[in-house]
Amino acid sequence: MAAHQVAHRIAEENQRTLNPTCTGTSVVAVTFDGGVAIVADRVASYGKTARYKGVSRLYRLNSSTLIGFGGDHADFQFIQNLIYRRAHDYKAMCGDPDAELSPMAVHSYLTALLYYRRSRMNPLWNTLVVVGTQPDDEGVKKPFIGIVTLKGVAYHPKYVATGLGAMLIQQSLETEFRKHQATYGAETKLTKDEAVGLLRKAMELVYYHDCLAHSEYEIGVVTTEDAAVLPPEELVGNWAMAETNCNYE
Amino acid sequence: MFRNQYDSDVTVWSPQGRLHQVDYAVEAMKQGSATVGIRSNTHAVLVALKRAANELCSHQKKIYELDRHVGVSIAGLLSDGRILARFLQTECSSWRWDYKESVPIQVLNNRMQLKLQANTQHYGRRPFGVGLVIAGYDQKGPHIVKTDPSAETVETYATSIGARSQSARTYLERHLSDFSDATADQLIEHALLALRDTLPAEENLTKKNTTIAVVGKGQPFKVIDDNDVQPYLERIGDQPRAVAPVEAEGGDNMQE
Repeated sequence: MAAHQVAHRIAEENQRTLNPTCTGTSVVAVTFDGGVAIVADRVASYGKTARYKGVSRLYRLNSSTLIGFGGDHADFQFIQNLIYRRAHDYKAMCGDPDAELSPMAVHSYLTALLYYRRSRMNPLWNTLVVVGTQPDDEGVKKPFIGIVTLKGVAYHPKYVATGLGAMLIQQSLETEFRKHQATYGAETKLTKDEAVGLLRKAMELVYYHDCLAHSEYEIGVVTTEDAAVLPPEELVGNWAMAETNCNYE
Repeated sequence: MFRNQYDSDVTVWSPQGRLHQVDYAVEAMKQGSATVGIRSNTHAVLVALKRAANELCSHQKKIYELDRHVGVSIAGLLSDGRILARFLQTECSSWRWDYKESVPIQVLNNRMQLKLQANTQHYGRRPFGVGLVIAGYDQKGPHIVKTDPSAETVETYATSIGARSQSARTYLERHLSDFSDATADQLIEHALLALRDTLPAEENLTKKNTTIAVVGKGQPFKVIDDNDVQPYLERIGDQPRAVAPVEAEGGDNMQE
């Protein structure tokens, strides 16, 4: 029987996800000339409490793919395991221990998965950002960002911010990008260092405005050579504005 | 091949260690009209002889596009072949649904092998009476894959299956060193020359009975039929036949 012919009774509330538990907040990613950079802080919040620190929200899958998450941590750990096993099976299927899933393949699979779960009214409560370098028809690796939300909404932007970051800084990213590309939608001419600098500024803004954000963050970079999550960095920020705030004591 | 008491079920071994039903299925493949596949470092080509049951009939379609990067040519029971081609088409498209990418040829090979082998080990089933030559292009380059009813699925540089295909294989072995650096057109010429060697002396390749397909770097899978075949036939027209065809055993024309 085809899948669409099976009647789905929506399960009881205690058998499907209605709200997330331990969550990650914003993820920001930008493409640059030769790769992609992504940043996320290192905290899993339990509501508004900063419950678990030192949590990495970036996952290096292979030499051309990184995945960042926001939303439920447990759901992401489930997805992480699924992707890891799928990447492993891919090597066996291709008969090649060096075979790697491309970021587009991972993103497409996650899109199908998240949309399927959404349609069963039991979502995986995550916003996932898959970044990497994707071979085009000629085999030349091009920067790639793919985003999937918990509703299964998916697209391939040149830069993206999730969570509160989407409200706060997506416009700043847009402005930066407009300075660095000839026409809208064209390949960006940002350099790697400019991209990473942009992400650090974005993290600082997120830290000021998002009460779930934390000061320790990590940056991931994928180039045509390799993908790496850099060691965690700590930001201090400029809190002098607090003294001019009339409600500050 | 003669009838004996160990050949009625595919699940029965003979004392000599043979599965006769599988052997008979391979014979069915050998009755089909010939097809040739060759690959270079950049392209893979298929050519096939299309049979017409009589002058009133059209010539049978032998080459199927499975996806934009892979196609297959069939020899043997064409109706079995269509089922396998449709299976491969759904494998290609469901991979594309999941991953938005072309399926790697090795993955297709594995799936094909499992499907073919199942019919050689279950009671009540029969092996598929058809051989396939798959031509594909993926990140590892071009591939030619040969399958037969025994579920043997093997990658080759060049192959031929079907009636009198031994003559074609002789041509291919002789010219093997020319294939790696050949252009797509040169590969097609070699394939047509090999195919021509499978015909009896009085017959010839025509635009009606010959079909060509090519896939490769920058070249999505394309089938060439009818009038478009003529230029290729003209290019090989002046080359003499190298080998007299090997006589077929049995050879009734019921299968394509």
